[in-house]
Amino acid sequence: MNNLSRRRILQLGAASGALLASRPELGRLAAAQATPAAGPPITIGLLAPVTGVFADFGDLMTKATNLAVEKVNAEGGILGRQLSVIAEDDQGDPAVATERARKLLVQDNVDILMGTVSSATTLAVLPLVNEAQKVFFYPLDGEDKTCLPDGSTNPLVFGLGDTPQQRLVSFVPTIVEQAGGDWYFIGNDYVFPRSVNAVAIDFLNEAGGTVVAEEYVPLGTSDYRPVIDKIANSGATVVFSTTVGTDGVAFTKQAREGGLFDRMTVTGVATFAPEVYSGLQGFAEGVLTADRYSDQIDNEVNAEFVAAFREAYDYQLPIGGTAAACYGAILLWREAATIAGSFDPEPFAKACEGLAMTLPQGDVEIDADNHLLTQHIYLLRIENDTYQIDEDFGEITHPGHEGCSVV
Amino acid sequence: MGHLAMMFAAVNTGLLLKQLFNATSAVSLLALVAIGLFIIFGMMKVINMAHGELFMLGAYTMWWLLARGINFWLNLLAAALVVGLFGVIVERLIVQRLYVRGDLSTLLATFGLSILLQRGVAIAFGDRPQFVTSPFTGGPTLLGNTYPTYQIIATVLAFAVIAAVVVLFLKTDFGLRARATIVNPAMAAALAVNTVRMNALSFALGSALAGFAGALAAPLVSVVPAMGLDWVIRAFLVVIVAGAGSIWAAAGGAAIVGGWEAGFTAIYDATYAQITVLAIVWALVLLRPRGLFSGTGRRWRR
Repeated sequence: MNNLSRRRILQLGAASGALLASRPELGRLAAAQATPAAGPPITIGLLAPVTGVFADFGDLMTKATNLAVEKVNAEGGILGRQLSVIAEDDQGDPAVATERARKLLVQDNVDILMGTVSSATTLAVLPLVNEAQKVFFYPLDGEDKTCLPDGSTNPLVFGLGDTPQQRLVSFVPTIVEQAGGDWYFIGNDYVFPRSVNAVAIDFLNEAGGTVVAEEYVPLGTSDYRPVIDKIANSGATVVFSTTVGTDGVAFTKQAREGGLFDRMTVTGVATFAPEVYSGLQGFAEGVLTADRYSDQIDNEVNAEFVAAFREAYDYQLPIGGTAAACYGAILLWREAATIAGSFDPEPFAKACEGLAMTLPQGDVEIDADNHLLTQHIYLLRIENDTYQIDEDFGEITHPGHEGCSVV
Repeated sequence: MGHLAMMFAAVNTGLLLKQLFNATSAVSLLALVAIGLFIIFGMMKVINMAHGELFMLGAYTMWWLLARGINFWLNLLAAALVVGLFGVIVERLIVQRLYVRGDLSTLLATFGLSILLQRGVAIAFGDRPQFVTSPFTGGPTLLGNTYPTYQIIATVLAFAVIAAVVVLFLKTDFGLRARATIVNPAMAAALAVNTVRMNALSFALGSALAGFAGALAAPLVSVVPAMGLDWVIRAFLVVIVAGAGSIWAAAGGAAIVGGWEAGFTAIYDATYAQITVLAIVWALVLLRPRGLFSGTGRRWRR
C-alpha cells in the first residue's frame, strides 16, 4: 500500500470515528451488535523503551500490551471497534520521549496514550498530553504525577503504578516487627531511591525505628563490596535496598557471597523486582519484599493472563508488575469505554474515575479523587523461583496528591 | 553526619582487613582489564573503545557454557580463547585496515563495534541479566567477616595472569619485540620485527585478557549487554594515568584507581570516591604528563 492511500484511509477512519464518538448511542449500538467492522480501529500509542537502560521493561510492556489487545480484539474489540497499537521507542530518554510522544499524539493522532518507565520520561510527556488534550496512562512510574500545578487533579492523566506511600505503609512496620528497627538505607544515587527512602524513613520513625545510615552509590557501579562490608559492620538489623536493575543484581550477589544475609535481614524495593529475577535467582532466596503484583495471585483474570503470557512468549521466569500493569490497562479501558460509550477523552476519562474491577493483581479502583490506582499490596517471599504471597496488606489508596510532582 | 560517625566507628580491625581484601580484589580485576587495554594502546596506538564489550563477551561466554553444564574453570580458559580469537578477527577485518589512517579512524571504528556488539548480544540473548554463579558459596570467616572462597581464588588467579603477562613482556623474545614495537615501530620493523604480526598478536592478547577478566568477574556482577561500561571507563582512567610507557605503570595505575575507589568508598562514600578519583587522575596527568613511573619506562629503550 502506498503512503497516499494509507493516509486517505486514516482520514476516512478519523472521520467516521468522530461520527461514532459524537453519537454515543451509535457506539453502543455497534458494541451490542459486536460487528468487527463497526468503525475504524481505536489506536493506542505505546511509548515503551525497547532500547536503552530500561530495554527489558520496554520489551515486557510491549509484549503484555499486544497480548491484551489480541484478547480484547478476539472478544469483539471495544464498542465494536478493533484496537491497534502504534509503538514507539522512547529509549528511556526524556528528549526522545518528547519527540516520540509528539509523533504519536499529533501525527498519528492516537485515541489514547500509554507508557514511559522512568519518572523523567513521564514528566517529559505530560505537557504534550495536556496540549493535545488526550488521555494518558502511565502504568509503571510509581510517583504521583496526576496533579496540575495548582494542586487540582489533571482530568486526563492516570497513574497505575503503586506509589512508595502505598507500597511501604504496611510493609515497613511489618519488617520492623519481624526484624527490628535499626535500618541501613542503601540505594542508587538518583531521584527514585531518594524519594522512596524519604517515605520509608517517615514510616520507620512512626514504627519507632531508627536510621543507622542512608547511603547512595552512583548508578552503574559494579563493585558494592566496600559498601556491603560497611553495612555488615554497622550494627543495623535491616538493610533496605533501593539499588536498581543491574546494580541491584550486583549488590545482591555480592551481599549474599559476603555473608550479609547471615548477619541481618536484607530487603528493599526495585532491587528484588521479578524483572531482574533472571540475574538474581538463588542469590535472592528467602528475601521479603513488597509489591503490587505476583504471578502467584489467585484469581481468574490472573490465571488467564499468566497462562497466555507464558504460552505466547515461551516465558518461564516469574512475571512481574510491569507486564501485568500494561495488560490490566487495556482491560480497564474496555470497561471504561463501554460505560462511557465512547473513546472521546472527556467522557472516557470521566468513566475511568471510580472505576472498580478485578485485574491480574486483584481488585482495583481508579481513585476518582487523585486518579491513582487503589490496589492491593502484597508481602512477597522469594522462594524456589516464585514470589510467594506471605501476606495481603489489602487495598491501599494513595493519600490525596501527597508528594505530587509535575513541571 | 552519619558518614562521619561511620568513619570513626570503622576503626575496627576486622572490617579494616576485609576492606583491604575488597580493595585488593577490585584492583586485581581492574588491572586485568586495564593491562589488556594498555597493550593494545601501547603497541598499536589504537584506543579500543570496544574493550568493555570484549569484557562483556567473556562474561557471556562463561554464562553460555555454564548453562550447558560445562565446567566453570574450563570456561575461564574458553572465554580467554574465544575472545582472543575474536580479537584476531577484529584486528584483521577492521583495525588493520584503518590504523594507518590515524587514531581517530580506529577510535570511531571500535566505538561502532562496541555498539554493534552490545546490541547484537541484546538481540541474541535479551537485555535481562543472565545468571552466573561460581562453584563456591560463602567462605572462611575472619574476625566476623566472610571472605568468599571464590573471591579469594579469583584475586589470586587475576594476579597470576598479570604476573604471567609481565614475565611474557619482560623476559621473552616476544616481549622484547613487543617492547621494541611500542617504543619505535619503524625502527623495530627495520630490525626485522614483523610489526604486522606483532599487532595482531597484541590485539589478540589484549582481547583475551578482557575476555578472561569478564568471565572471572561474571559471578560477582550483573551479566548484561552493557556491563562493560563501568570497567572500560575505569580502565581508560588507568591508561591515562599510566601512559604508554611500561606494563608496570599500567599495574600501578590500576592500584591507584581501583584502590582509591574501594578505599574511599570504604571509609566515606561511593559518590565522592568516584569524584575524587577523577581529581587524582587529573593531578597525576598534570604532574606526570608522560605517564606514571615514566622514569622506569626508559629502561625499555636500552
